Amino acid sequence: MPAGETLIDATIAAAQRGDEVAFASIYDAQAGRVFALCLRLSADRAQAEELVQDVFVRVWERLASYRGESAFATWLHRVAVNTVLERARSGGRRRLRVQIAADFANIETVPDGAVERVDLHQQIDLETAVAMLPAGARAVFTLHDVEGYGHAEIGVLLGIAEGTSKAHLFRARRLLRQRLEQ
Amino acid sequence: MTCAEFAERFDAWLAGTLTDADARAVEQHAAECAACGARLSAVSQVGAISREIPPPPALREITLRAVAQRRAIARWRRMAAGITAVAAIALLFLISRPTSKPASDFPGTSTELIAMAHARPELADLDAAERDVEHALHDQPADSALTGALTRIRRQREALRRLVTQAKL
Repeated sequence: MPAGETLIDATIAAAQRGDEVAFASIYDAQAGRVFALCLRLSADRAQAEELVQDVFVRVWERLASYRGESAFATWLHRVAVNTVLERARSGGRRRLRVQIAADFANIETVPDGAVERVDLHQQIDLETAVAMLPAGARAVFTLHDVEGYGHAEIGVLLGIAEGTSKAHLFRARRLLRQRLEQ
Repeated sequence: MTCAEFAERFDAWLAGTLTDADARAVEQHAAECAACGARLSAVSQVGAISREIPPPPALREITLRAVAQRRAIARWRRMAAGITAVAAIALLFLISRPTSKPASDFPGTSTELIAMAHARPELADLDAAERDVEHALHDQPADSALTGALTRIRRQREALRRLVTQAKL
């Protein structure tokens, strides 16, 4: 076993025993990816910061159940995705829930132009372009193209058909392409 | 492949619905044509999106504090379950013991000794939980969950002490 892996295992084991310093090390190693996920799904910085707190509280609560069947980072990010989507569904983050649900319902009827809210003279970087995507398309794009989930799994996570997930991904990529070419 | 054919197939390439051969033809044309290559590179930028975005530095302390608070409350809840069992044993003793004891009795029945033996570590745990929650409250004085937990800890400790004191009589 590589030395680095042993070190990580030791840190996780210490955190499972309640070691706060070890848990802080886990935060330091994973917070960037968790924050990126929360920010892209919510498109709202303040909301993303609240979601990061929710995710790490949930990680701490479930840490004892981690048995090493998968890589720790994979396990942690699955907890993160589930936490963010549960919050979106539960109404605790009502605005996110409404945005995503409305966007899935309207994929065929809402013209892409309706969600254009950008000053065309403004410099658009990639993150800004992602943030401007419709919520459903943004969620699918983030889970598929950034986090690496398949359409079948996204369908289960978001409660949509696999085909709807594909349609949203296509729409997201097309909108991003249009905006990045401007 | 011509630029017009590239344009026709570009959306399908983007959606991943082309056959492997057609997808390779699109990519080959993009490699040879500067204008079409620029369209593809814009999309490639999307593929290179970073999986990490640095969070605000202050979020670290806020998040770790939220975890510590949850840990303090969870610890108290675990103890509450144990304390309930101890209190039940002590209460059972109080109900079942005779109203007067002969002077020659051994000091304490088995039920009483069990109650006292269980109560000591539970009282020590309650003291530790009180310190944890007080520490968390120092950081978050307006947290009503913590205030409630502290009140319940103190109430349970007093109730347990009363039961143990009565069991010794």
